[in-house]
Amino acid sequence: MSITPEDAKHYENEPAVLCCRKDKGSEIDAASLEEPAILPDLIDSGLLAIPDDCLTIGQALGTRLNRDVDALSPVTPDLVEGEVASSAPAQAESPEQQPKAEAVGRSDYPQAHPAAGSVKIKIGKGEDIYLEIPVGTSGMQNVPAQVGEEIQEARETQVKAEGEKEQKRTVEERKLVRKYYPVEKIEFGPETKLEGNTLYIRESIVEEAAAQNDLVVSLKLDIVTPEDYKKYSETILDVQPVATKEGDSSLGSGITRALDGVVVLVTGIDAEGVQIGEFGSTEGKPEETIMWGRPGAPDKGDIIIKTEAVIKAKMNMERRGPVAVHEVTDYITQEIREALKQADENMFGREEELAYKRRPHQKKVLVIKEIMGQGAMHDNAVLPAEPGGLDGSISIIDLGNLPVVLNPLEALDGGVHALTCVGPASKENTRHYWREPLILEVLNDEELDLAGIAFIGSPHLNSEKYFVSERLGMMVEAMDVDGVFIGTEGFGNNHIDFAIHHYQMGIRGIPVVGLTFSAVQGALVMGNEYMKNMIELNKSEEGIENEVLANNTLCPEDAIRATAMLKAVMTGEEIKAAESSYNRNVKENNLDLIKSQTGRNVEAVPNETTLSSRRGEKA
Amino acid sequence: MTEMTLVKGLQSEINVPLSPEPVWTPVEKELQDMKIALVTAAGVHRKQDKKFNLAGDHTFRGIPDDTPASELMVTHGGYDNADANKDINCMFPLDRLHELAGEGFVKESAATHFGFMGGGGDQIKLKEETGPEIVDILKNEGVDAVVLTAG
Repeated sequence: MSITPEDAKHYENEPAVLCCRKDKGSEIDAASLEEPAILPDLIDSGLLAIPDDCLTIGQALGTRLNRDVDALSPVTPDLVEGEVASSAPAQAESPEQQPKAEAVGRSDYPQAHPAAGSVKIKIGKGEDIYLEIPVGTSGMQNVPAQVGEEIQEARETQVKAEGEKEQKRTVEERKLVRKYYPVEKIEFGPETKLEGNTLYIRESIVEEAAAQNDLVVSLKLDIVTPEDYKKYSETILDVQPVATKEGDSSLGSGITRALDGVVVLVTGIDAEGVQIGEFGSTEGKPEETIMWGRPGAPDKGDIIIKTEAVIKAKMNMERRGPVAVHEVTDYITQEIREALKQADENMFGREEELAYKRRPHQKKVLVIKEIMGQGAMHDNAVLPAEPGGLDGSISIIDLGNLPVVLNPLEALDGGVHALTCVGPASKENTRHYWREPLILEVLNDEELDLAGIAFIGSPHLNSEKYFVSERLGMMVEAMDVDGVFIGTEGFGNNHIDFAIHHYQMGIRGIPVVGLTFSAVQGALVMGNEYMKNMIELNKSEEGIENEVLANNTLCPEDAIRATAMLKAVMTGEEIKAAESSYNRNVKENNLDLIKSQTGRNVEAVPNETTLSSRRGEKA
Repeated sequence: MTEMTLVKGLQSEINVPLSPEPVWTPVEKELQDMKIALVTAAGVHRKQDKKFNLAGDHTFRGIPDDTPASELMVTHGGYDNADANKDINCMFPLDRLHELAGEGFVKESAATHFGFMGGGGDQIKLKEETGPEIVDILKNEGVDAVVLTAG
């Protein structure tokens, strides 16, 4: 922070230190010089050392530099042209040496004798004030009474302003309660109902469901228990919780009932036997093709309600094909939801409460989730009527792929129905959003104010990608956030959007951390200077899309690293540059730094090498 | 404002290339004197050919100039194939190229066109093997310029 010509007169015996980089030949004027009051703190922090031959401000003023000199450099005789007026060398006074202060200066500023350090504070209105006063405790002891009183008044005004802000800004805390109904057995019967710990599914519903969509040639429903995890399955399109809203609750609030230990698995092929997969597929033995326990995957022990649809030939890679499979499956799931609504309300086992509270005094952050929007299997639908359902939802494609903001509880309450299949290993299924680690991490972090979750699609056309990204940039600008996370599933085409979203943040000076699978197979092919704070989501041994469901998806360890990195960036820390090619050790080192510096125990999740068996190489 | 927990020394985990400028070869002929080939990364190939591996494929398929549109298909997981299935020309405009050659807008259509699948293949192999192999054939056939399409 530079000084004025008037200050320079007062400070003429203080050390001359440049406040900014100056070129050779430039004249040293008051505006070139650092405020002497903060020099002691810079010295204490180790950022500055004043040599014995440092010129005083009085000596340095008017001289010319004989070379380029960096900011925070003491002005010494060797740096300036010609002779300098001799006087006693300047010494920065350490806080202990400060002489007795007298109040001098302009009447509308609280101002101390320069040698005691001066604090300039101007309070306009009592709103949104943040004061950081760079003096040590011992410095403050010597501040004259007048200044002390005025600083104290400023502090009280700040506290009052914050109090008013809190009253104005606090939205009533949002809550979502999940009640889990345990299921130990699923059987077929004459009607769909939940009786005790047994779920009965109406036998006749399967044929009825198949008739809901003309593209579906046939539909099967299997109940897969842990003993059957080794039985062959067609490729998996989605993993879904079975959940419903209780009473008048709407998505993201009130009460959600969910079956505990049960998931729906949506699978299918076309009439020519082609898997309804996009970038690879997961047909085979579920015990080999699923990375169990990932947020979006089944957990070991889950009972799986598996639909297997056959759709008309060559419909697998047209948008309506995969949609058909999801629709007929959801017809069955909805009947189970209705039964769950009717279940005895005392039959639930465990209960979980999610709370969303804004923290206006903390840094405001936004989580941006780039989901797919190119049609075919890349559909994603938001805000269904029921958690993870399809009815009432709207596809991000039909929203023009433009960003839509959900509050964190809406997102966690099955606010996304994922038709996406961007390669099974990085696919974020419907269940993933139910337990989304980044949303949960930031939601529960007392040091951050989570503004919301912005879902944005990835259009097919290049021109649309740029249009959508510009709207995201303008939305984020209007939100006045302090930092953003940008996460994406998949790799390849969507990396174009991913890169230009970073650009939109970067040109606005908004700190940004990006999360994606990249490693070897998904190595980025385009990028920009704002993509320097990146979190790698790969967990596979070879750094590839290994067609193990959810293997490379966002897990708690990724959320923890991303949050630590964004906090560092928002604090002004430089993040070290990435290595020129994929190196898994970088992630390991980052985890170690977090563990050692915060004491937080972070366990990395296992990868495909821990599966009890692996499927053979595909032909 | 509570001070945030600060972890020092973190490193970015993903290498990010700065987008390179396109490489343009100078145009030295009028369009009406040029032989034009189509080269697509949109996964187009003849129905009789082996399909591309959706999980990454660095191979290519040659498509003879006299292939009817009805004999072409798409194997690509990166985009909705509905429009391409209705009319392959929207991703691989072979019929349109023939029409332009017939009008004299371009001199002629190349003897062989090329299709590969750009989604997630081995980038090194695509750059060092696939690309150069296609170029060799194009040069041997005296092709002057290519139209690239991607999915």
